[in-house]
Amino acid sequence: MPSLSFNIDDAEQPFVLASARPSSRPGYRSSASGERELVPSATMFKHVERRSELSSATPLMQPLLQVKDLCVDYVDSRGDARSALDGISFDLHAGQTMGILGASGCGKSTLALAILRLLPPGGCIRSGQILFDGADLLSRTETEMQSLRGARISLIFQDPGLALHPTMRVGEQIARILAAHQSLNRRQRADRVRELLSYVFKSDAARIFSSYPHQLSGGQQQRVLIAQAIACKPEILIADEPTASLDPTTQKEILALFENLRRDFQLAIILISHSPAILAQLSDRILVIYAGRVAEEGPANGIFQSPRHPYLRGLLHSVPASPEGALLVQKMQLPTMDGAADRVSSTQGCRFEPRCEERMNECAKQNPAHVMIAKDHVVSCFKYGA
Amino acid sequence: MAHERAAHASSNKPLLRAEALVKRYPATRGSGARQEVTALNSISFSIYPGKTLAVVGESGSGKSTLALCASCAEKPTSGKLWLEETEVTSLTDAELRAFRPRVQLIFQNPASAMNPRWSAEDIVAEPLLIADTARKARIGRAHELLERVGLSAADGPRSLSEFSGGQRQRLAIARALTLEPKLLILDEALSALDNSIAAQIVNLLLDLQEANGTAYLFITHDLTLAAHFADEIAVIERGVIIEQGPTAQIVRTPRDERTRALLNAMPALDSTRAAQRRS
Amino acid sequence: MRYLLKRLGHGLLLLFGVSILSFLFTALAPGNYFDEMKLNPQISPDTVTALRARYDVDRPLVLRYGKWLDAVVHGDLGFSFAYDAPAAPLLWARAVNTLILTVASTLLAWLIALPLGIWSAERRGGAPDIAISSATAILLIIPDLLLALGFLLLAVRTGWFPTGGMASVGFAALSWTGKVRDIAAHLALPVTVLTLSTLPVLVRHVRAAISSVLGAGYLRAAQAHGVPRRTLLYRYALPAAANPLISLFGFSIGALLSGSLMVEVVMSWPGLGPLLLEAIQARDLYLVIGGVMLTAVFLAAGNFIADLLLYWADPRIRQP
Repeated sequence: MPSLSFNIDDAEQPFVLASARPSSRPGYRSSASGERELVPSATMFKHVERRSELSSATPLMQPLLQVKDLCVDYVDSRGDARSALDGISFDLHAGQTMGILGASGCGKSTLALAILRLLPPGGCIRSGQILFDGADLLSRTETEMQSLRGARISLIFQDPGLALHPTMRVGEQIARILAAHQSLNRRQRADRVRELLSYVFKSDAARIFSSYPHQLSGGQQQRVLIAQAIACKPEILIADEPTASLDPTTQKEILALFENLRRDFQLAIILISHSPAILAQLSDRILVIYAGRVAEEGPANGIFQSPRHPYLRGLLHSVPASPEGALLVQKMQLPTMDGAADRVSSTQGCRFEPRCEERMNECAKQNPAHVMIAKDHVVSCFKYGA
Repeated sequence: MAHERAAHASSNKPLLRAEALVKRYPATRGSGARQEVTALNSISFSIYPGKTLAVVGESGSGKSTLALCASCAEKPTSGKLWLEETEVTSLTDAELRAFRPRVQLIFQNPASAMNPRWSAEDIVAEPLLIADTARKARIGRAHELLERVGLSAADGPRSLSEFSGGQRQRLAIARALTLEPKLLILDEALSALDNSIAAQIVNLLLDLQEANGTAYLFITHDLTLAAHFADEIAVIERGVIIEQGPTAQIVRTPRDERTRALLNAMPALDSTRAAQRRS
Repeated sequence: MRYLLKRLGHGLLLLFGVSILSFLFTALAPGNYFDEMKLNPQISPDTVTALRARYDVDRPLVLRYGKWLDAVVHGDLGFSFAYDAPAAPLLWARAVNTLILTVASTLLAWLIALPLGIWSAERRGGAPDIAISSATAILLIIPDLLLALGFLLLAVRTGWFPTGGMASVGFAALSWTGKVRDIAAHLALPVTVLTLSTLPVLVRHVRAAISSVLGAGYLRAAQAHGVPRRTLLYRYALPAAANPLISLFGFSIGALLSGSLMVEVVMSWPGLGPLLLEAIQARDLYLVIGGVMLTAVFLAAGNFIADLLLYWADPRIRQP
């Protein structure tokens, strides 16, 4: 595989000039001949090293999870429906890690809840299919879903402090999940819990077992959530912003833990985050969601190396990639996109169009279809045909 | 304002100076034994007008206590604090009141710092209640500030729940600007926001700094953000500043191992680090 | 541990305060037992004076209180003028009966309120919830006295239940099971009245406490792990909502006690209620104080049990 590494020093000068506002076309500059060419800038992610063999190989087996054209609405008390997800589709293979990238409110948490059919009151799955191991989850009964949750598909919620019961010991909280799905006796459950805790905690497992959540730090709480999620050896693990409230050092440890999980359990993981950097470390494939619709989907490599969708490009350019990279744009205005992605009502055209710097006439009129850039890379943008 | 900024820019007297700040809190363990926690252990720093000092540390390092002491919300156990040549640590509450407008605090969770029943314009105009200006003038000023921070005057009457996280932080900044402070202390103000929204707020802050000459004390655990935004970085751990210096120096040639560890922990990849990770 | 000792201290302080107040109020009330005696021509004035001296009626209040406190510490609750006997045994016997009534009603009320409250919280806004809310509202409006009289009427009309007392005439002759059944039959109506009078408040509070907890993150997380519904409600939601409910438990004991005094009088249950009423009417100082103190002890004990429960239930208090 060709080396895809760049060095910071190799970069051309950042396209952000010293005192000016960002150029109107992020990521592009005029070459000598007047044509536009892609500029590697200090604010762009350089590359993502390929970690796993599964990423670029074409999976021959049936995908473990297939989401097809999922549409989810939230209906408020007055009966008005707001579209949260519109036509989401992707495949997840066994052992693969899919990163779902999007801003707050784009629907990525809704997607996680929809898969497990745990939408809050008001949420309703309007149409689509979620095929797990061949069968459609949307037509399963609640009892069947209950036996699936935590046992075959696990979800790690966002805020560890809120996801743990305040007056129940940590060991017991994990044991209850085992009790819900497996027929072990009390002592077997306790042994299994200790085993799990030794896996996620390097040391101190015994003390953690009988601790209460409020006695643990944020990172420790997150590890407990992970232990809960893998207790029954699920096939799919969904982690919603697993490192959002953590310190950088703890973040690093938790991500390393996820690496270990991938390696030791061959789990399929769906990692949800708003931070491209975090997803870049672990994901094989990336799904970019903007305002409830798929903007781009492809191998992590391709996505970060050469982002196609204007939103993704804008996102990757707007945030410095590392402290060293940040130095290069010290005290300069960052090339952010104006406005925000939240609270979009259903519109006719592309949902990113109001903020897009490369918009064309058709963009406001129709929603762009998915265009296949490469064998496993799709973009939803008129710029690439439609 | 421009002439003030010019005057400040050329001034090399620190706006805020802390010397050997110590802050201890009593803490009771379950057994009933009284212990003391030393949150700050002899901290010294200076912030110059129109400049940004970033204090970077992890949770428990004492950075939030630092914010509280620097804004005079809490009195340090020992040590001195000077605000523009006046020693403020020995002042009484009544005497401090004159200084409060000069230093404003912005917190991590904007929603908890604002009254959810009030409209945006009332929230922004709240500090003006002290000066007892007429309501019309207050609201007018509030609208001005809303425009300044990238919202619009039309947002004035809307209630807090209609604003997103990033917009609420803009509101917090607008409110802080009401009294034209010389120093803004941002305590993890961007930590709860998406990177892209945080970047927008950073742009706003840079803009304000250039226009008004506001100084910032930027408290964060994100070194990338600090590297972009700050003139000087101080790394704090367990109540002690382990390293301090100009941003480029700290990022490129960190002297302390712990600073290096913090730099490495930033979630960004380049070839060398990924290779290390694999081996 | 410190927490518990503090709570115990509070309880003792409460009892001390109650004793002073009740002593004051009773002693300062106009008239005393011996005024009535004076009116009786069969008793000579000398006897009255001698009796008065014997019972220290003319000594200053503080001295009397001091003497009484000293006696109480030694288990002597004073002397009843009306019964011409030590107050303590009288009071104890009646106190046990009140205890039986109160404990039974508390248990029954909570045993019904918990599932009902949880059930309506779960189906908030639905038909069962509205039905229960309406029922509790109606019960709240009906005064306890009316309830008591209503059930008494039922007993008289139908003859299904005894109309008063604690035991039937031929009690001593019954077998052991017969005795239990007899007491239960007598207990049934008073307990029902007391339970019905406290039930509405309990149900509403349980519903509110559970509702506030139902949206919590840890419940959704547990649900996401496939924990079954019943476990979620009783092993996750209820313990999390326990704090306000335990405090309510302490409070409900107080409410139940004051209600029970009235119910005992109306339904002729031989508890502290009727005794206290008699004693007040007869200005029987030590009996009144003794009765009030015992009631206060039950209240303080109930609250202390609630504190114990809170300590046991909430690890954040035990191990901060």
